[in-house]
Amino acid sequence: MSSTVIELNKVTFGYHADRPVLQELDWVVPAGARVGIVGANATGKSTLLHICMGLRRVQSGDVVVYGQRRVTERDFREVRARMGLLFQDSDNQLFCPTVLDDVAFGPLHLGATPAAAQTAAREALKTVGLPGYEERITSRLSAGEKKCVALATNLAMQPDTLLLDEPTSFLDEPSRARLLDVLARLSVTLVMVSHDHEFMKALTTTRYCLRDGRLVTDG
Amino acid sequence: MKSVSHDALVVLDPRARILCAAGCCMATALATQPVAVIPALCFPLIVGVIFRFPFRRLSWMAVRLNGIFILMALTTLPFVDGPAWRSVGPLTITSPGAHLMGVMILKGNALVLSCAVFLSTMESASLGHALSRLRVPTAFVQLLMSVIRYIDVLLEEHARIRLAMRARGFCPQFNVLTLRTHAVAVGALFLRSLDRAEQVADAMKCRGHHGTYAATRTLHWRTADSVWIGTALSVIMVMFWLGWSV
Repeated sequence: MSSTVIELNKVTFGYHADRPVLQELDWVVPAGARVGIVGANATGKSTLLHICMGLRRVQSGDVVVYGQRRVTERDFREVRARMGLLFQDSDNQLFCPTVLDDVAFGPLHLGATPAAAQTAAREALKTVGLPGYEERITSRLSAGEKKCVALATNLAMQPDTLLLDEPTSFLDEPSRARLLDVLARLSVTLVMVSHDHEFMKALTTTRYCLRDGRLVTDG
Repeated sequence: MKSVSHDALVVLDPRARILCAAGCCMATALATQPVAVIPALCFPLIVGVIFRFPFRRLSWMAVRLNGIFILMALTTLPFVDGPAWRSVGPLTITSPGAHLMGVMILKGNALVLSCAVFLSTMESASLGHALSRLRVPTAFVQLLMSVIRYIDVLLEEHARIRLAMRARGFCPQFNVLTLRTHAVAVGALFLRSLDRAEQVADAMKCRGHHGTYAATRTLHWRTADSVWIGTALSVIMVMFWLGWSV
């Protein structure tokens, strides 16, 4: 495994040509690191994670993930097989009618047989503390359950890196505590964007603040 | 569409259920004589009785579904041009009108019954998988699965918008302002749906999706499925024979 998971060199990105969100941003995430990013609303925190996953294309600069420069959709397919992204709104991440179909979706599309995908899905659900939820209807889960199932959809693909976008949004205290417990037990490279400082302090060792399109070390 | 099914029809392969429903519906749609529709009504009824279909739930649903349709057929079709058949006060019911009304009511009920018995209790995931295996285009299958998944989310979003409107004093009236407010609400719903669709597409990409439909469940075609398909075909042939022989 490359010693650096993510390396961004002079990355510039904006939704409008005259208003860049990220400006000549440099960032390195070593393998095994647990990194937190804070910042005001609309400063580009989620965008930064989406760029790492190849969901947004940078206007200039280099995106190097797992030691290789990534430009095209094909380049990022390998990245997505190894790197999981937890979306802010779980309803956007859970798009299948039942929990089992949703969690097994990733392994199936990575080439696993239906039986192997089901086994991986059941294991992932057990890891997040939701065994027996396989046949539950996704849209009828609580916010906390949805978040844990969304995490399970990533874990079923056995990622070595997890990007978490506001993992505690919409969660009550017990759900937040359960998520914290699950994430603390995972041995993966972790990058987290959050406004929840306590949650971030409990899980990360390095923290950055995204300000004026650049990352600066935060406390 | 239930996602957790406890129906006895689950012993049949979902593909057989879809083919039975599709065959019966197509033959019903093509029928022009009331007598030809009767087998299409009897077949799902018999299947429903054998597999203990919850007809009590269906009866209320059928009343609601057919209510307006039957009311419209009863009030308009019997009075189309043609030779008189019966008189009700000042109104004359014509023979072709009565015939048309009979055919339409029977066909409507046969279609609802076939779809309800064969499809309504099927797990949504099985339906998607079966359609995919029956070589229905992937885009259509995925669209259907997305509708099943997101219909609740769409309704919740609509409820949130309505609540926000009411919280700011909106009270629907018969005026331009109400129409404009509804247009704004529909527009907001459309834009939010578009935004959500883009994010769902991103989530699918993140989990390795690139255009194909991969199903979690496996399907097993058994002798019983062939028997039921054969029975459905016989029913369809009887329908055509009855239609031609009149």
